[in-house]
Amino acid sequence: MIATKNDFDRPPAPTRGGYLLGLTGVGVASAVFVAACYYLKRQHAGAITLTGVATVFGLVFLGLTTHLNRLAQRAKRIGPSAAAKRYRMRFSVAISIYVVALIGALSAVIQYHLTGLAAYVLAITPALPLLAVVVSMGVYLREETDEFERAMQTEAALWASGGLLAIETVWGFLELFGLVPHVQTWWAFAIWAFLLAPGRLLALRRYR
Amino acid sequence: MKNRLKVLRAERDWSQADLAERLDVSRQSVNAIETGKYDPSLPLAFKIARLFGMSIETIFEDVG
Repeated sequence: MIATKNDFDRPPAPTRGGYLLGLTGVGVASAVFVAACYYLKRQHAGAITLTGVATVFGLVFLGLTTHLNRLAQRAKRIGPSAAAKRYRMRFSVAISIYVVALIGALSAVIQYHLTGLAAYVLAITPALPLLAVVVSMGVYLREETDEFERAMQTEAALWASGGLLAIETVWGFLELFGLVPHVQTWWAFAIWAFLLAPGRLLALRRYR
Repeated sequence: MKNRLKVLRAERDWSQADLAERLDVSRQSVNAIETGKYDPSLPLAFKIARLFGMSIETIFEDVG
């Protein structure tokens, strides 16, 4: 066994606890979100209230998954690459625009009772920044110079896609049999993005 | 894939971070390659070989 400098700068141990803490946080946030949606539905809350709750919890998920990502990076004592930093910047800008566009479009459509072309245009507006997020993910994968990191992100995306397909398929059949309520398709993106974090953990498990 | 990266690194007294910086990859990548869990692409293998002034076959051993 050859001793190298690296043997003395191995990362500290509390990684697993950190992951568990992060995952527990995501689990609790998910449970609270489902409970809040159920409660609001019973209270016959309007679209704006439900969207507000969805936005707030979306941001909570985003924060928690970012926290998980940070934990993973700290555990390996690495910082994000230049490409990852650019991706985060584009992501943050797009999500900020999304929140403003969503609230603005919903308020305008409801307040001014818009119909026809104007309603269509406003309805699509919040989707555009999310499409920009999809594009920025692709750009990130092209820009990332670290091939191992690129492979991990790609595998995480595949895990997330598989997870989303599994959830959608099961939910779709449950819905077909009238056992669960209808879920709007925009949830697919949020679920996929959320599944990226556990997907990354699964991708990295072979390299521990 | 087995390789001599750890030995070559130790000979030069480089940490994984030092090697990662020279290769412009993350320390995690160096660790994954060094432990034989991740096989580098051909361009990265050539980069590693050039850095150590050796051929790819001298550094990486095809055990398959």
